[in-house]
Amino acid sequence: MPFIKKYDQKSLTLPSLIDVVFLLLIYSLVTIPMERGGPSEEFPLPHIQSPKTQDAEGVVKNLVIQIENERPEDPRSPRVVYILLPSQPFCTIEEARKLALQANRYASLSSDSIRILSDSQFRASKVCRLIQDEIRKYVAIHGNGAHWTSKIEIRAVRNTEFRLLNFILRQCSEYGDLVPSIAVRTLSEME
Amino acid sequence: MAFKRSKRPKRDIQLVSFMDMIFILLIFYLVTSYVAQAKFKEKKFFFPTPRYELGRAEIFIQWIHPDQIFWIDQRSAETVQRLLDNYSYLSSDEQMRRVTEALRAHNVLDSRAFQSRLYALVEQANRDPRKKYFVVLRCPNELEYFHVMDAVSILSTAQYGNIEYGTIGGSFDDIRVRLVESVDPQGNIREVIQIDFLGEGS
Repeated sequence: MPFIKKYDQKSLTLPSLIDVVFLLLIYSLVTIPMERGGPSEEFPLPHIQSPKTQDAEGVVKNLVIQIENERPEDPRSPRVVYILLPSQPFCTIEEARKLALQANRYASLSSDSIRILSDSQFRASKVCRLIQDEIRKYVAIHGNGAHWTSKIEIRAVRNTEFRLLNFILRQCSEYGDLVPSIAVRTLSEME
Repeated sequence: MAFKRSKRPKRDIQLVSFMDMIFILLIFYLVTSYVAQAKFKEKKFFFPTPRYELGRAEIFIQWIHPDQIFWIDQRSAETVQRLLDNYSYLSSDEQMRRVTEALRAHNVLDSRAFQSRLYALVEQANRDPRKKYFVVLRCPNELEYFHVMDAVSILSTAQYGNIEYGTIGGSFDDIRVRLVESVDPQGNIREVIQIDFLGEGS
């Protein structure tokens, strides 16, 4: 005797469908900011835990001297100095870096040269001339503004030689009270 | 004797609930990894630009190597005086050079001892908010700048902000230590340590 199997007709229920759609929505919302880089952007800045720090903007609002390794994975590779300038509308550090590349506002110097060059040779290097010229131009343009308060920043990989930092400090010190301090970007644990 | 097995209805995993669960696990994983990555935040830390003129400082710190840090403060004045007496037969320049070299044997700390000394200074500053300290941090050209940042990170934790600091570049070889007479705020004359920098450094 033949048997007839009866299958229940299964249909997708509306609440479950809404569940799935919402979950997909949340998933896409979470993943989109991650693709853009967000806070996971890796730049090996020195770590510092200090109550005297201020939040750093994600966009370039001041003159930022960015120093990085030419090959990020190799700390002995040449140091590349980028001059990031603020623009209207404000752009992110990555965008400002691209603009610096286009405008030829970058220079590099090998780690060994930074260590062994004499003072005069070091000051005559392309890197130092670039830093010197850009600080001079920036202070000349913005230094007399009403809201000017020491708007020069350094964003340098933690293995950067102190000589570069010292050169920037010395250049800024030439402007006396116009540049009483510089901001060094660091990584701090979130409170 | 055979026993009757109780018949339980066969339960299938429902596809929709299964997908729900998988997505929740996925989102949990994404959110937690996102939070873990955002542990550190980019901040700005301010450094005063130096003035190249004669200044006063309570403490002078000079890196020789990453693990050799020369620390000198007014407590070393007696040692300096004793050394100057020992080398009194030499010319003034040679005397200063020998004194500086001899001090290296007494005043160099390894990085752990250096850190402890910094914390001790912070504690001392926290005990007396009226007392102000200025610390000069001098670092050779070839050293990585994070060494200075690490030291400043400790000093800046002083509760009353009574430790100030400045940083300059240069090596141990171009410093010379000597004693000079100075008048303190009460009008008393006393001998204080003076450190001369021979090279300007870049």
